[in-house]
Amino acid sequence: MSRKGCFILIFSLILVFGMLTPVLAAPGIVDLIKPISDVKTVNKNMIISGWAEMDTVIEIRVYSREKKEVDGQETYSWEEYLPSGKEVRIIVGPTGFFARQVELKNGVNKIVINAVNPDDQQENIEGIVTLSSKEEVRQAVQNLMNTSFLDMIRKIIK
Amino acid sequence: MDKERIKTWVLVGLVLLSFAFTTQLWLSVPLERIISTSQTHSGQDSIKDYDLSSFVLPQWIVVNFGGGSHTKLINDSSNRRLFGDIYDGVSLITEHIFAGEQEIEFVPVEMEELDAARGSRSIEVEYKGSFDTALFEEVYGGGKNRDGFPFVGIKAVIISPGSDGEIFIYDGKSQGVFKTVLSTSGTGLDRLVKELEENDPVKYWTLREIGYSDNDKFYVPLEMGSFSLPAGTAVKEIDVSDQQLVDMYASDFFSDMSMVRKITEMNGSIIYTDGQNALLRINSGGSLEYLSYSYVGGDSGSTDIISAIHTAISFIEEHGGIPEQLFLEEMLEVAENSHRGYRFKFNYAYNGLPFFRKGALEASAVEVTVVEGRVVKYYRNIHQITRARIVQMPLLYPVEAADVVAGIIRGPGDAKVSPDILDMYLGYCIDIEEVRDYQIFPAWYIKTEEREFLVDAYRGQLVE
Repeated sequence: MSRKGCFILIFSLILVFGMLTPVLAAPGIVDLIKPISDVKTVNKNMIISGWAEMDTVIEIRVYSREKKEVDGQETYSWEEYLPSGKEVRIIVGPTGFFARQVELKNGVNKIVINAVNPDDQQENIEGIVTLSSKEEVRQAVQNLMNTSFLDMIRKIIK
Repeated sequence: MDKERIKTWVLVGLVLLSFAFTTQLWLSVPLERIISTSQTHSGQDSIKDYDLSSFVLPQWIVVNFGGGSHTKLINDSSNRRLFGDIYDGVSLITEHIFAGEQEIEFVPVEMEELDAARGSRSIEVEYKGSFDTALFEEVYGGGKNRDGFPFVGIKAVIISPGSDGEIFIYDGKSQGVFKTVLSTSGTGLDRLVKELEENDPVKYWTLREIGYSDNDKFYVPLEMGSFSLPAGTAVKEIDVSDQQLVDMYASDFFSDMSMVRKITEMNGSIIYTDGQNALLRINSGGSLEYLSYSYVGGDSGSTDIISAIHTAISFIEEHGGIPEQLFLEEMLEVAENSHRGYRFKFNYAYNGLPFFRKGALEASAVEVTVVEGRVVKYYRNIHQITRARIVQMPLLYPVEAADVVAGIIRGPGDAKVSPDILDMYLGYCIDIEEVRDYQIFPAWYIKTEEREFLVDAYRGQLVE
């Protein structure tokens, strides 16, 4: 009976720790204040900030989507956008806080955050941020206001 | 014979020349031309034309563009024109409030309403201290004493430009917010805000916006590449080794120098006293302290704050001169031997940034106590910048400066510490602990709940 009990206990422990392992193996190295995925903004400057363990090395890179014409066909590529004098690397200090202002280009931008904590664990966070001009937003709102509710219903039914 | 005649004429010419040069030697030359400006006791590049408004100046102006976008203007060389234009526009409104034909009614509002104005298109003019309303009445109202203002002190004026512009006054003494509605169309403020926005200035953020804490009372930049703050050296205004200069300073404080005793201390400091009325101590470090024992001779009828500040400013001008970029930092009501009076604290700036003195963070550059219309205490510690050099290093980010502070206050077992920062801004630090050439360098001033810190903004080291 006791052997059976021990077996069940060991099996249960293996099961519990087995479930916990993926959680322990992928720790949230960086805790961002604001998410960076699928953001639409009119501000050219964006803040990437958050909390992390002291001595964590964080690299923040911004890529803008550039349109190119290859053999008469439009293709898109990501090009790193780094204004002069800007550092991409941050080493988190004793406050555990980091903050960097990144500059966006008009259109679609990709932000890539790469963090490595003192235990050499790594985390990659990516997000797409779309920068629109205030004029574009104003125009979009105007179009929305000009479209009647009935037209919108008709479009949906079609 | 001819040769003899030539010799005679040459001799006559030489004699005449000697007369001419002798006259030149005894020409009356003004003192300023003999002693260079830096050695005279008229202060660093003293300004002669001034009034009270020259000292009641904002420490900075924050321009909000709406949508969480702000910039902070300091009266430095790169922003002087825009800073001046915006402040002139704000001054027109302040003048209208204090001296306009119609009475302006202010109503108390909640802080949330002020926060909403700060979140949209607006201008914030912030003073170092919360100054008595009477001071603004004097500066902008030409002395008109208006009843009915619900605020007692002004710490900040916040303006939302427009035909129905909202004007907020933040009273730092009562912590209250008061609002009125006025047209700001004639001030050009709207145009200036647009112009500034088009110039794409350095953006500033509150700690709440960057997610560090809930504090939204001050702004910090997160883009340091566009700052170009020189470092340099300075000398003390009064050098005790120059006996002639020190005696000249002292003679300004005593009407009859024949009655004055001079004592030189072991460390080089010099004390002048007439034994009865006053004592002057000029420290070897270059600071000056004056103490009057007697309240006789002052205008005892003029005990109000306005008379007191005029007395204080005149005294500064007559006793060392008005240093360039001097501004009023704080005004306090004090009691000296049961006599009511006022203490005025002044500081001065370099390129728009205030000075801090290493080893004397609490002390102001100039302090004047006026009781019964007479200056009874005077403290002055001014340094003159002799050299400035461009530093090819990036300035420390504010978060990095906070890290320096956290590193100091962190206990041995603590993994990380986030100091509760109440205020933070850039200034200049003078290392007055050195012997002769004092180093000046940009520094982050950080105020937490418990202490104040200065962090070298280039080297990232704690200064104080």
